[in-house]
Amino acid sequence: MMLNMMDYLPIIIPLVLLQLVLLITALVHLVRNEQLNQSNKIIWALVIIFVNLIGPIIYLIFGRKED
Amino acid sequence: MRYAAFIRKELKEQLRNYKFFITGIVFAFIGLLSPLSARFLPELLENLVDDNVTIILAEPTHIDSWMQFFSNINQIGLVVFVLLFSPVLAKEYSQGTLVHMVTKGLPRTTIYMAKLTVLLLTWTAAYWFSYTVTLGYTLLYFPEGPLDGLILPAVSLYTFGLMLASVLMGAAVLFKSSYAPLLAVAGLVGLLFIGNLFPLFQEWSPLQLATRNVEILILAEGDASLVRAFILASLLILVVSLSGAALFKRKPLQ
Amino acid sequence: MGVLEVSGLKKAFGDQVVLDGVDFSVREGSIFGFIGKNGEGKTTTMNIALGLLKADQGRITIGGETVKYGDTATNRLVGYLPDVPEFYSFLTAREYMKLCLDVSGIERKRGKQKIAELLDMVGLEDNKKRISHYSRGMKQRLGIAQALINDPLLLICDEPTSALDPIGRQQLLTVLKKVKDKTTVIFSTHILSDVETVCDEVAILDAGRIVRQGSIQELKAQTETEKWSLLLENEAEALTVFSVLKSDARLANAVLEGCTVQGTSPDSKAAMKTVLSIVHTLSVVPLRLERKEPTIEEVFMEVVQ
Repeated sequence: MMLNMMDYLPIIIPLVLLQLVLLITALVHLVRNEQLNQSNKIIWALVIIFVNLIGPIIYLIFGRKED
Repeated sequence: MRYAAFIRKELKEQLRNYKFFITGIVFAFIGLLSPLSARFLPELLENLVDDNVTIILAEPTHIDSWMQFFSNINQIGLVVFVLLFSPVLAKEYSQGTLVHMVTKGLPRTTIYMAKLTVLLLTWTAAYWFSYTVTLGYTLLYFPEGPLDGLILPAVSLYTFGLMLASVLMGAAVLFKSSYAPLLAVAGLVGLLFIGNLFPLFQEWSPLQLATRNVEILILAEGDASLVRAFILASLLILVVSLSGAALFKRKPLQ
Repeated sequence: MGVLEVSGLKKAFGDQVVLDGVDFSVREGSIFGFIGKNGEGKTTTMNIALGLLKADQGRITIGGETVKYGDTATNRLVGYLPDVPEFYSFLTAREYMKLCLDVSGIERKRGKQKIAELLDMVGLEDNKKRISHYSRGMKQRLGIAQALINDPLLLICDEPTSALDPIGRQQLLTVLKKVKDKTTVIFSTHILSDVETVCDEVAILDAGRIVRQGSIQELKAQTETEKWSLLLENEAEALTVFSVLKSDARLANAVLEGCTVQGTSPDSKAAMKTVLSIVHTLSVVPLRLERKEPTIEEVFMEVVQ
């Protein structure tokens, strides 16, 4: 890679931070969620962690089962 | 004030069901990704491709950054926004929660206007937030790029979003299911694209507000056809909102 | 002039006529029971009174003002509790009450205190949970509290007890009795024991019309069949008395159950005179002879047959 990493940093840092915030928010919600059973939780955890960006969003929209 | 009270309820709802959160994250991503991909995608491609193959890529400019921004807003931002807020009324219909509000004397017009206001404000905040992020990074990576001519294409796409949000709200009154309003908005955009096959329609179509942004940016000025698009979009917003509110007054709530 | 006046109300859904000229009025300060079988149009009547449904014909007034379909001004005088109330589940009870207060458009300096009082009355004062975690009974009690936030002239409850367990029902009826001092209450129900417990006046809806209206005493007095029953010392005596009674045309519907002989008659006084004279001629001394008042249940059964 010939790219200048320093050039990237100011934009990569916020991107990574956003991803982390999203991931953590979704995971915290998942752990506290009383509406889901254990096996569903494991599936959602995999989706949240491994489906980059879309996973946590899908969980927060469709997986919360709160209302 | 009743209107303010219902707006507060809407804000709390969208905050607590994570819709504001998701909107914020997605639009922040768009704001960051647009300048990033404009600046580094060509570089990345050059590095990935075999040395024997030379691909000639023009040096990216600030135009590429905005091109990315407009297309990302169109393809991701608007889609996510409409998808997230499509159930704006469906849940209230299905659970009968509005009955309590109406039987306490809250006028239905107030409910409609409060919900519409929150939709439009959400779009406004998300869009200009994303715009500001892209603007900042574009200035950082393409300092030579001029700033003039930016506002008109930016306002065009913003207005197009306002139009879709108003149509979404109107459609939410008409259809009681969660995702029918989404389909209605998609249907409208589909019709606009089909209409574009006819040159006369093209010159009047509000779709210009979402498709001609880069062209206007390069030209740095609008034309009569774009003005017509603005007028038609504003008219559509007005007509859809007024008829939506009128329809909502006569609609059974359960 | 009643708080709620319904006159000539008609409503059909397609071909199906639900209300066919309903008339009744609710007196101020009473608890009014609106009785009818399921699907007889009780909810329809209430929805029309709330401006949620459009009547085909007829008129409803609340506090003298006519109810219109859509945004009706009369709603400021009304509190409403549906059978299975749903509230914004992402709010807490306190937040929801605040929303109701603001939405009802009343400027109230003591708003906070009012909310606290109402939540206290229904026993939800310390609850910090969001409504999504509430049980049915808790939602129903919150329902009463939110319905009373605007000090309504009339509280409309649609089957408030039918979805509750016995304890929840008891709590709710107690609350309704408390409310009565300030507010007129109309509630629809098919649970007749609730009616006898709390109602001052009732109307019975059958086949789209009001077939009876009045106080519980009046309805019972109007009822044609009265019951009498005779308790004897042993089964042998009962059998003897029964066989003689049976031969009398006026007492032909008598039945024998162990040591008890009982029957119904349009005029139980006359029937009992006959019974007494028969007992006398047989020189049997009964343990007990009584005239039974009809229960509201029996009134209802007679009326809707």
